Amino acid sequence: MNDILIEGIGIRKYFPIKGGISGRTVGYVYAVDNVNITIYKGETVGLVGESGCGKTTLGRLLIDLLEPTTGFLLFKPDKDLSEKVKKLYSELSNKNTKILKKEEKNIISQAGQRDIYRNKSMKKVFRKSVQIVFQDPVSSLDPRMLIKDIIAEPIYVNGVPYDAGIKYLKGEVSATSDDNKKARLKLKHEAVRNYCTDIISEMGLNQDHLYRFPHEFSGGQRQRIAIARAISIRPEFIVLDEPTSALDVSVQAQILNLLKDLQKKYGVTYLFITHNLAAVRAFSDRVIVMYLGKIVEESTTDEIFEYPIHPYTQALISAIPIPDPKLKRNRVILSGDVPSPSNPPSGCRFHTRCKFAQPICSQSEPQLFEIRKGHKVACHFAEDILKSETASAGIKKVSDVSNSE
Amino acid sequence: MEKVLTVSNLKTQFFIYEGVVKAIDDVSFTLRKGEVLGIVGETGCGKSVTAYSITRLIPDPPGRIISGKIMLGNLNLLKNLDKEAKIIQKKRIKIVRNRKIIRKNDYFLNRIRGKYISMIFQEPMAALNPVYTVEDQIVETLFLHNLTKMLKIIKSSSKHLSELVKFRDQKEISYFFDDDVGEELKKIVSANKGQESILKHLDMLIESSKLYLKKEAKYEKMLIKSIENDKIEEKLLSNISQEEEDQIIKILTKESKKINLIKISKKLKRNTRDPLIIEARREALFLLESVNIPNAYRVLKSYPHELSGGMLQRVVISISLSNNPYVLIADEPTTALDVTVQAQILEILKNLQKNNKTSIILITHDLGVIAEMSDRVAVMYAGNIVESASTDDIFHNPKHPYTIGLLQSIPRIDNPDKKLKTVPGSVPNLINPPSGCRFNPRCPLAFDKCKLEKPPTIEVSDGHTVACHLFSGKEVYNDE
Repeated sequence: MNDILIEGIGIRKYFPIKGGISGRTVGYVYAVDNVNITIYKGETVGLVGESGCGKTTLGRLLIDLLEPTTGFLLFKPDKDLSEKVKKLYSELSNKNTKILKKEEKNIISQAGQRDIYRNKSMKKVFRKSVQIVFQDPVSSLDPRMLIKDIIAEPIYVNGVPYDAGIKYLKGEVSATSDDNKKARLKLKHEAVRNYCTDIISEMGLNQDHLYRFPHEFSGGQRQRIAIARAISIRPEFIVLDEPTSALDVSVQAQILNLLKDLQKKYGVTYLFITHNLAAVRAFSDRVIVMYLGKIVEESTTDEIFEYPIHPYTQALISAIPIPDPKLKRNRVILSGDVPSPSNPPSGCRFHTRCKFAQPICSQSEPQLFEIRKGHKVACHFAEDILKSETASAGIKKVSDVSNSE
Repeated sequence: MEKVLTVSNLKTQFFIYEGVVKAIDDVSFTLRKGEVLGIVGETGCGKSVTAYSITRLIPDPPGRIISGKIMLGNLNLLKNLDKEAKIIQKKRIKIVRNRKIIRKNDYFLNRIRGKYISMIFQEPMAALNPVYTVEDQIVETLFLHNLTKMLKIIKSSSKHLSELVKFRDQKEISYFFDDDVGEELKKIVSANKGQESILKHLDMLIESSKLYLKKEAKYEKMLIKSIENDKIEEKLLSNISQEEEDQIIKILTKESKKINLIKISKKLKRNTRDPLIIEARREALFLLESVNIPNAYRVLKSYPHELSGGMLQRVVISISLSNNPYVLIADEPTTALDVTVQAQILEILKNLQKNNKTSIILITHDLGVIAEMSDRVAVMYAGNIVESASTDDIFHNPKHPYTIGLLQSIPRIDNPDKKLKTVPGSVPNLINPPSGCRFNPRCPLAFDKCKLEKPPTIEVSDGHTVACHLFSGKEVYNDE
C-alpha cells in the first residue's frame, strides 16, 4: 500500500445558527460529524453525495480553509502514531469520559505537534503543498487581474517550485548577485513569466492568453486557468470542488482528461468532490459516499459501482440515468428529501428513508467497519445485505439485463 | 399519429449592442400526440430559446421571432408576425414595433398559454412567486382556464348534497354517481391518499355546493358562458376559414381583456366565500396529491421559500398540468436537482404522461435523462437541429459527427475503462457564426464544401434526418 498523504481523524464541523434579538446561538448545523478519512499518495478519491451533505465542507477542512470544531489533520503521518490516535479517538467517542490517562495524554500531545490545525509551523509547510479548484470559474477568478497575474500570484506568495526554480533562476541569479536589487527583481519577474508561459501552454491555451482578463474566456477555458493557478506551485494535493458541474459534457471530458494527464506528469493526489457519479466512475480510483455529514461507504470505484452495500449508495447508483435506451434496470426510488442537517435523525441518519430500516437503526449509530478488503460500510445490516441478492443492485444488474436481451 | 404541434423554419434573433445574435436558424420539427420529444444540446445552442419561442415568451426587445410557423392544431401562433414589427436595415438595424398589435396578440395568447401549451421552467424557485402561497398560485391557473369543469362539478355536487353529507358522516364513499362529481370522487378514491384527504375533499365539496345554491342563477349563467367560450376556443384549433378565425380571435381578446389579474389575486388573498375558489382549492389539493407530495394540505398553505427544490419542482409540474395541456414543454426540469430527486421527478412525469397522454417536449443537456424518457430526439447545435431520430437510432446509430462526439464524451457508469473522447473546441459565438455548416470548425470530418454551403436536412432512413454534407438522400421539406 502507498504512503498516507493526508489523514483526518475525528473531524467535526458544526456551524452555529444565530437567532433571536441578541444573536445568540440557537442551534448547530452538523455539517461534518466525526469523520475519519485517509488519502494515500498519488490516488484520486471521489467524494460523492447529495447537495447539503457536507462534501464541500469536508474538502475545505482537509486543506485547512476552515477551522474544525474538533479533530486532527495529519500530513504525511507516522503510521504508528496515526493508528494510535485513531484507536484512542474511537475509544473516547464510545466512553464519553473526559479524564485521560498519562499515556493517552502523551499520544494526544504528540499528535498535536504534528497536527496542521494546531501547529503553525506545520501549517506553513502544509499550505505550500495543497491547492483547490473551485466550482464556479466565473467567481473564482478575480475579474480585475490579468491571467498572468492570476497564475503568478501563488508563485509570489509561496516561492517558485524547486525544479522550476532551478530551470529558470539559478544560473542567472548567481551571475548577477552583486548587481543592484532592481535588476535582480527584473530577472525574477522574467523567470516567473517564462514559467507561466510554460504552464499555460500545458493547459492547452497559448501565450497571448496571458494578457487577457477572465471575462474574455469561455467556461471551459476559465476552468483551465483555475487549474493552471492550482498547479503552478506544484502541490502534492489538490481538492477539486465540483470542477466540471458548470460545464457542458463535451468540455467536461476535455477538463477531466487534462487533469488525468497532469496527475500522470506530476504525481498529484486529487480529492474529487462531485455529485456527478458518472464522472467519478471515469475519473477516480476510490470513492467515499457521504450522507448528512457522515461517511456511509468507502471502497474502490469498481467495487462500489458493482457491489454497493449501503442502501443509500444502492439508491444513489440506481438513480443515475444511463444514456442508453436499451438498458432498463430496477430503480430504487427514495421517498422524501434529505433531512435537515441541523436536526439530524437519531441513530443511523439514513433510517428515515431506508427500506431495510429496523427499530435498531433509530436507536444506535452504526460505525464504519471493513466488510471486505478495502470496502468499508456503516450499516447495521451490511452483512445481511451482502448475502442477499440486492447487493448486486449496482451496475452488475444492468449488464446482466442487457446481455439477456 | 396525429400531429399536435408543428414548428417550421423558425428563426429567432436577438438584437443587441454588439450585433445580431442568430440564436435559432431554421428550426423545424413536429410533435405527435402522446409522444415525448427530447431536445439535447450544449449550453447556448438555442434549446431554451426554441421553447420560449413556442410559448411566445421571448422578451421583446431585445429578442424577436423573425420568421417561421408554429402550428398548434390548425392555428398559426405566429400569424401576425409581420404586423407586430418591421425591421429596417440601412446602416444600423432598427426595429419599429407596433405596440397595439403586440398587446392584442398578448391578450389572445393568454388563452393559449397555460391551457393548451404549458411549461415547466428550469429553476422552480424562480418560477414561483415568493409572496403568494402555493395554493394561490395553483388556484389562479385553474381560475383563468378551467372554469367550466369546476362549475360543472359544483353544479352536480349541489344536486347530491345530502348524499355527500352522508358520506362525510360515514367517513366513507360507498357508491359513485353517474355525473361529474361521481368521476371526481372516483379519481379521489383511486388516488388512495388516505381517509383524511377524502374527508377534506368531501368537506370542500359540501361547502362549495352550499354556497352555490345561494346564488344558483348567477353561476348557471356563468357556466353557460364559459361553455360557449370553450367551444369557440376548440373551434379555433380546428380547420376553419381565415375570416372566421379573425372573428373568433376578436371575441376571445375581448373576453380576456375583461379579466383583471390584480383583482383576482386580491380575491384569492382574502378568504372570500366564493364556491369557485373553494372548488379550485380542492382541485389544487388533488393536483398536489397526484404528484406524490406527502402532507399535501400543509404544503398548500406554505410559501415557496419554505419548500425544498424537489418539492417546488413538483408544485410547478402540478401547476403546468392543471389544465390538461395539449403540449407540455419541460425546460431542463431536473437540472437543479440531485440524482435521487431527479429519479423521483422523472418517475412522476412518466406516469402523468402515460395517464393523461400529454405530448411533452423535454429539453435537457443530460443524455441519460433523454435515453430514459423520450421517444424521439432532436440534437441541436448552434441554433440548428443537426440530427433527429428515434431514441434508439440516436444512441445506437448516430450519423452526424457532432452527435457521435457528444455521445463519446459522456462518462458512463457502466463503462469504466474507456478514456473519454472529446469534441475539440467550444460552441461558436452566434453573433458571427461560422459560414456554411456551423459545426465545421470543430468537425473532424470537415471538407471544403462544409465551409461554403449550409447542409440541407436529409432523410437517411425512415424518420431519421441529418443535416450534414457527408450524407446524400432525399431532402426533407418541412412545409409538407
